[in-house]
Amino acid sequence: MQLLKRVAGIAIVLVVVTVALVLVSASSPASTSTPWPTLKASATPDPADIAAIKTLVDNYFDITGEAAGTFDLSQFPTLFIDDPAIALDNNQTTFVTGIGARVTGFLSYELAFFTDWKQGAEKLEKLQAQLKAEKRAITADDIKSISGPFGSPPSRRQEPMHKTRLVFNSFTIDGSRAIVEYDSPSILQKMFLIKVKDGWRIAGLQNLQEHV
Amino acid sequence: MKDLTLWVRRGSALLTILTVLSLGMFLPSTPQAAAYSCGNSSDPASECYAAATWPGNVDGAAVNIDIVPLYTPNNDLVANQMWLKDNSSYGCTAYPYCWFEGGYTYTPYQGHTYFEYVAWINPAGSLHLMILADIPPGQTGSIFLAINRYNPNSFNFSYHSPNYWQDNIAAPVAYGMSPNFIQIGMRLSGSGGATSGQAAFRNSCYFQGSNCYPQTNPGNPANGYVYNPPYGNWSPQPAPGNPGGVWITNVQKYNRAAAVSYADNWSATYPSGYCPRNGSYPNFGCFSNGNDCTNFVSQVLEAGLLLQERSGAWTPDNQNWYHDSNSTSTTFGTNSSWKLASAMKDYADNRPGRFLQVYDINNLSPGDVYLMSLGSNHVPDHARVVVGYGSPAEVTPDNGYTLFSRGWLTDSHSNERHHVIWDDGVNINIQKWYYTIVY
Repeated sequence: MQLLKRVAGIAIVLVVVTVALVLVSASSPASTSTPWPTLKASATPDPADIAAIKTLVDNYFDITGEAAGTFDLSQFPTLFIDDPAIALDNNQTTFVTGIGARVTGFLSYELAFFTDWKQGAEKLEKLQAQLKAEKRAITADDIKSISGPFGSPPSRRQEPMHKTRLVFNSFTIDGSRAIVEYDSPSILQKMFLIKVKDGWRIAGLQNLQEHV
Repeated sequence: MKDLTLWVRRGSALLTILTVLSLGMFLPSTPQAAAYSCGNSSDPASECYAAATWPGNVDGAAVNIDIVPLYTPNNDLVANQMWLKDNSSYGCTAYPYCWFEGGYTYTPYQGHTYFEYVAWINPAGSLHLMILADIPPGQTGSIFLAINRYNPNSFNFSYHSPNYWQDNIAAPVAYGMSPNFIQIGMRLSGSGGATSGQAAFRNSCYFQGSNCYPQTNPGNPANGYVYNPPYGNWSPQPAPGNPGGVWITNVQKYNRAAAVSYADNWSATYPSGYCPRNGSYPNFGCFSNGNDCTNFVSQVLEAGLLLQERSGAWTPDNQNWYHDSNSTSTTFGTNSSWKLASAMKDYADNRPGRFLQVYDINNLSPGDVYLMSLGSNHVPDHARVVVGYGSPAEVTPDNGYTLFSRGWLTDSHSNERHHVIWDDGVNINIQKWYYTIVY
């Protein structure tokens, strides 16, 4: 009888674990956090730093939002910086590995990401124009012909530009390094920032929770 | 409020036109055109009609029909008829319902009459017919619809509407579920540039009082039958710039209205705190901790009669999309493409005959879906269904939805969203994959 109870107990645990795993696997989780260097918050953060970081995050939304439609990446060096010490998160790493890009930090990751997106979106647009001209439907072979390591490409951004509403939750500023957590209508994010001669740059980005 | 309702309906009519046009541009079926045939060699004054052969199965299928009105030289008649012939022997027992549906938008010179109908037949032996008619105030008119189904048993149905009528009626009919012929006849007559058009339709009508009803057996044009000549001196011809005719611009089986209805029934606004879930399916949770988005979209697609695909127990997810109807387990009974956005994309990529990827949301129609990713890679992690165009039901102060007064509306799960604008109102690089269902 005792054995039976143990077996039943194990079975229940297995079921619970399995259900939990499936729930997790069915999810669309934010990327898993990769440890970043620990910062010691300044007791008296410079208001100028806070203001500059807020502006940078604002610019991040505006410039990447615009780039998602135009694929103009010329301003990316004013946003991002490569610092190999700040690891990419798991999703970013998976992407870089998937396309076989050589990435040395967040700037080169963002450039690779948008370049790959641009190439895919343009292939999709070209294919759609071709299908329209040929008056035929898309086929699985067509999809394959424009697919990359992650399958069919997404469209370029269609939405008009907006001024994104941001709520800053915290600033941890430690000399020339900082971590800022903020919320937007779509996603809760955390940025790792590095201060250089002409201002702050984004060296890492993690998605914490999606609201969509 | 009545005026508002009218404008909403007119907006819907315009949307229908745009939808038909966009579908015609992007859907794989070759548009079929059938010009009006007026008269026969022995009698040029005989009834005009257009006949189109439907390449697929009528039962369980939907077709968008764009009918260009035909005018008499005096603009005193608007009459259209269309026949759909089912060439297959496909029965409808595999479907919950057998139906056909069509949308008819009508914008004659003189006005903006809008007419759409949907009809279906269920196995219990009832014919349901829904008509939405909108004839602007100040005009008089009537809308007339007849359905005849021939062989092995036939049914007939007709309804004569007043100026404005919207109803859903059920009428027991005798019919066989393996019919080989369906006739749909439509007629509009109106004022505001048109005088009464009933006369010219007279030969295919019988009268009850002042109403004209179709003859119950007008003949099968597929067999070369042409109506007997209607009353004389009627010589319809295309109006300038309006060639007349019947175009079937899309043949598909996906029932968008049913899909949208399901999406709306099983979604709720986030502020409501309500989390509607259909107990026949697994539930992957609610609100920010839930992961039910793709599971919900799959349910919507199935409600639109996108049939599940299940070729074996361990076959790849990109070739299968299913939910075991006997299971509500979150562990078993559904495959990945049913519940995971990334896997649904793999399946969609492999099934362009069902999920046709299009470039932007303006190529989508209600009942279509899109997948999205919030920027870390090219892998979607969320799914939504498009349910219409209009003003959002969900306006909350803490997100971007308040930015927009009108737009494409979507429903989704986890978070719970109901009639939210598709544009999230942020400048972040959200990636989207748009799919129109062409099954």
